[in-house]
Amino acid sequence: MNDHRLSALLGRGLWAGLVAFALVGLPVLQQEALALDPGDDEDVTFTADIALILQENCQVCHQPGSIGPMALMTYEQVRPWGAVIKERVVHRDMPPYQYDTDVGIQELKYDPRMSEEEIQTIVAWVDNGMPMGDPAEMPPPVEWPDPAQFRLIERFGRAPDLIVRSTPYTVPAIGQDRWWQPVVETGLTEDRCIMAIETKPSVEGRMVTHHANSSFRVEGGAGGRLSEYAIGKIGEIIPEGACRTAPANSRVGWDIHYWPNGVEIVDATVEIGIWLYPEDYEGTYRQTLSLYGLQGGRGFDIAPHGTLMTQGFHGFDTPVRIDSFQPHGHTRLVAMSMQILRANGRLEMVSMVSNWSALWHHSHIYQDHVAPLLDVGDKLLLTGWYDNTANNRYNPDPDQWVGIGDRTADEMSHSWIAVTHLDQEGYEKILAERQAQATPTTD
Amino acid sequence: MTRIRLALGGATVALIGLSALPLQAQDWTQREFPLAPSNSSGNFVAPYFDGWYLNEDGSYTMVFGFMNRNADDLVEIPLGPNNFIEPAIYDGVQPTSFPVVSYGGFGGPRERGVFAVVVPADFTGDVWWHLTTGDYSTKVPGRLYSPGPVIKGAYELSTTPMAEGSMRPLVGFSPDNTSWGPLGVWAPETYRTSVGEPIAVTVWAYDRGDRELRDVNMTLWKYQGPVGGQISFVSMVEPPPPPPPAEAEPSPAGGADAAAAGGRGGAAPGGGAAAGFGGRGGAQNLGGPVGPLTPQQPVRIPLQGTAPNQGKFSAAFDMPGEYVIRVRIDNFTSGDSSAGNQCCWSNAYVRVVVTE
Repeated sequence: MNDHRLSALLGRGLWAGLVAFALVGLPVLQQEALALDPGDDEDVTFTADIALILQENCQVCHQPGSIGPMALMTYEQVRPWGAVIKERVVHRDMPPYQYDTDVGIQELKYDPRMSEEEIQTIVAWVDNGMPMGDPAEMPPPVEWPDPAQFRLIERFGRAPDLIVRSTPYTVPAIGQDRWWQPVVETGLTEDRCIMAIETKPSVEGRMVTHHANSSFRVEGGAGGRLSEYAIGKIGEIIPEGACRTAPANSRVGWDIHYWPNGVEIVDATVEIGIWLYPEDYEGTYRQTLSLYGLQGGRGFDIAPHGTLMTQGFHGFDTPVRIDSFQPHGHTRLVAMSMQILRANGRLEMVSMVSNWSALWHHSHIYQDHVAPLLDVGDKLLLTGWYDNTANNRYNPDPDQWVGIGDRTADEMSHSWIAVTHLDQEGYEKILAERQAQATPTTD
Repeated sequence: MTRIRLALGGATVALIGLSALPLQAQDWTQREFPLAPSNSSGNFVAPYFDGWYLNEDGSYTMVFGFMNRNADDLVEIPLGPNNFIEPAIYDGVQPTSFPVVSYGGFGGPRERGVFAVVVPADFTGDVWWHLTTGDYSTKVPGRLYSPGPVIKGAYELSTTPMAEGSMRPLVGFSPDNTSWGPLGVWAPETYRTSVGEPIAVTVWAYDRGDRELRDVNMTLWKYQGPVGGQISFVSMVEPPPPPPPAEAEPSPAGGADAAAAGGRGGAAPGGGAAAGFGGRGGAQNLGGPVGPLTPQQPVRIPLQGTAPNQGKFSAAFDMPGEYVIRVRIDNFTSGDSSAGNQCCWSNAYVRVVVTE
């Protein structure tokens, strides 16, 4: 094997490489940005303070057998990584949830962001030399579930009602992207409303599964989108009152994007866990998950060493509620926002992700009482920012022209957005409920 | 509204590094009006490096394509100071004719894998393709290393079967003179004709998928030639008889829903001329057409048992000069093959000298 080939093999595992980079790599890149005051609490210790923070925020991934590149269970395991941990949490690279803390809606249904207090506690501990503390103060270890288990089981307290598994595919060690498109039966005999969805690659296949889209197919046509998964995403939760329908006698058509990673993955599979509302639940309004494009027209291109902004405007023919927002791009996308341009010209910021990473395709799910409402005539305004310069740490080659395409070396520009399609009566009802909740009462 | 705040703070600060760029007209690294609609005409052509693959002898094939950013305008750039490759040893194989294409799904307006060059196993430099359209010059490097700190093999292409078994088809001008991939094969003879007198060409194409073999598509392109010179292509591919209803293929697994929902889509160059082709489903046995072709209109070449698919066409020229025709044989009839995912097609090239 010559040098070119060896180098390519070492570096070609894009997602694995990106994950490793994001988790542990290049802490020196942003050292100058660490402008926080050194901690002034010299009593912070690992056993009394840090261990609990790690249990609540880090160990789900950073435990043996999980996806984190190192375990963070014990003092001995954590101490060598202290500076990196500080770096990552201060910049909110970890826990991985890229959603601005000071812009737009902050009340989210799944929100793993650390509190500022937790971050400052870690900073203080690292800056004070990372003392271990009294072993007697160490919290008991957490009984972690099997890493192969669906994460939403913890939220819902039960296993999914339905699991749809893709047929196995052996991902070769070497080669470009693969798109695997099996069609499998759901086994559903009646229409049901979906409460939540989690898409989960097999443990061995996680590092080579870029995305996994799924749609229902029914006799005579399409049955609607089931879900979208991209690396890092946990799942989707459909609000009470809405219904994303799982049709009777349907099949699921998969579109799984694998990226060979240097190691053959035998019989990789992806599972979708579906939690269903009760049989008699119908939901008042239909909810859909769809792709909302930003590029418009004939696509887009990004010049070498250049930047780009893309935008997309989307209107609806009925009032709607926006239930979730999930930016999508590849290695040159760095930020995306969602705004509402009201019919009267007022512009409202809904969500902003200004340190976006292709590693973590989170679906930001709004709490029911703050999920944005759009009337007919309002427009959803999506804006994406791309950086094809060397300043983008994930950019594989700033000398290249970059255009739209399926491959990870190319780019995309869209958001996955879950929308509940209301009618005027429902829209007015939600508005009135929110207004009543916001109005102080006096006795 | 609860806890919704206008984004004049953090977002602006976070993005100022991207948006506060100096304004320089004609410099597309720094766009003066980044959100303005692009002009539908008068735009430049961008050269693209599509990737590389390792050859059996240890050498590497570097693959290039282009994006014509116009809505309709064909752009032609003769070989020379406005269209050249460095090192010069690789110069001359690139196209001079850049039509507008538009592929479905995430294929977009890029024509990929138009040509390729082979560099030796110990090659360590870059192969630069320079293009000047009007007064705008740009270039792109072909290289084996991606210099970014994370991904070194981002532009590696594949020679192994795709998920459903599709591979780059074989193409040639005789059964014993075939190749595959963007590097393709050149016709051994240079055709000679005069203006208005068509030549007849036959290409042999072999689907070599690791699955049940299928029909392939043929598209014909003016690749090189005098500026303004037009080639009229006529397909002579006989369509197969329609299959009996019981043997009609089932609906594709992907289909319109997948494509409409952001799937990759298939071949639809030329603004939809390929309706009925491509997509991500199984082959539709449409055959033909026989007769004149619109630019980049695909022709389905039916599989004929164990014999190769044969593409037959004529080409007539309206201006004297030296031309090259590009024949692209693709497998976009398969769900795991499309322009957007860089698989699976192969090129063949035909040199033609046209006199008055």
